[in-house]
Amino acid sequence: MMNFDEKMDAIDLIINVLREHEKSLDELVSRLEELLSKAPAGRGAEAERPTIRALVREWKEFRERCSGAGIASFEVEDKKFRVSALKGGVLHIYEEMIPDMEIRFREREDRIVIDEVELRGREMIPAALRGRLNCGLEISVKGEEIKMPDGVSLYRMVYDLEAEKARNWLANQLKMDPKNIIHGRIQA
Amino acid sequence: MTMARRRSKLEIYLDILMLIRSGVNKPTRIMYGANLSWKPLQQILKSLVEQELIREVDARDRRDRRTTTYYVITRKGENVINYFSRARELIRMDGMVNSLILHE
Repeated sequence: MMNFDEKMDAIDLIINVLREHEKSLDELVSRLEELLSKAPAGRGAEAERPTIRALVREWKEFRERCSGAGIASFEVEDKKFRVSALKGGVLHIYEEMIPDMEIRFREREDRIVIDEVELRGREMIPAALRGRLNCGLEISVKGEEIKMPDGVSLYRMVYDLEAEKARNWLANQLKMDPKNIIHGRIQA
Repeated sequence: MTMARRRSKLEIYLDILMLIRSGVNKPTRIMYGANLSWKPLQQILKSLVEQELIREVDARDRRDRRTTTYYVITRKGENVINYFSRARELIRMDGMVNSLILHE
């Protein structure tokens, strides 16, 4: 039969072998953690490098797809408000025209008669009247009146957006830190 | 071609202990006998010495006065070999009994 000393010595060896295994595993875990701690910048960039661009028509869909995105940007170019957000390797883009309205009118006694209202597209009517883009972002309105020679006046309504307001609105809509929203453009 | 099964650390330790007990006591001989490379063997020998399963002996060669290291098994090392040899024997016997019962 096996005596007590033999059993104890065998158990001792087993324990020591297990302890060495644990030490090896600890070393491997430390090396892995070290590698991962050095990786984030490169890894993030790699993981978030867009492979495709998606033009999203509806703001609701854009907001759902890009909620919690790593980085986003906004800009106004050629009277177009453009938002880009990078999520899941896809650069999502939403675009919407900023309205631009001209009203031609003439004065008749104590009233004015509107001859013509000009807008660049019918989809811009709600935005122009509400002072808010279809996505929901508030836009500021400035008006200027130009006197024409034939007694007709031209009232031009110029819509614009404030960068900081847009940034905070986007941060709220996309559930992002405003610091990660760039006033400019991110490109694929 | 058949692939040899990867030995567990415990099996490697026991192989080395048995080699030393059988008289294979010089590091290079143990390395060949246990089919290990130099670095892992050195780590295992160090561990076995720390666990007092083997003892390291430095002997001076009479002819060229060089110091050679060899290893001897300790009482604790003997106990471990005996325990696992008997355990293996019990498992083998149990397997034989089981196969006899299945063939009845």
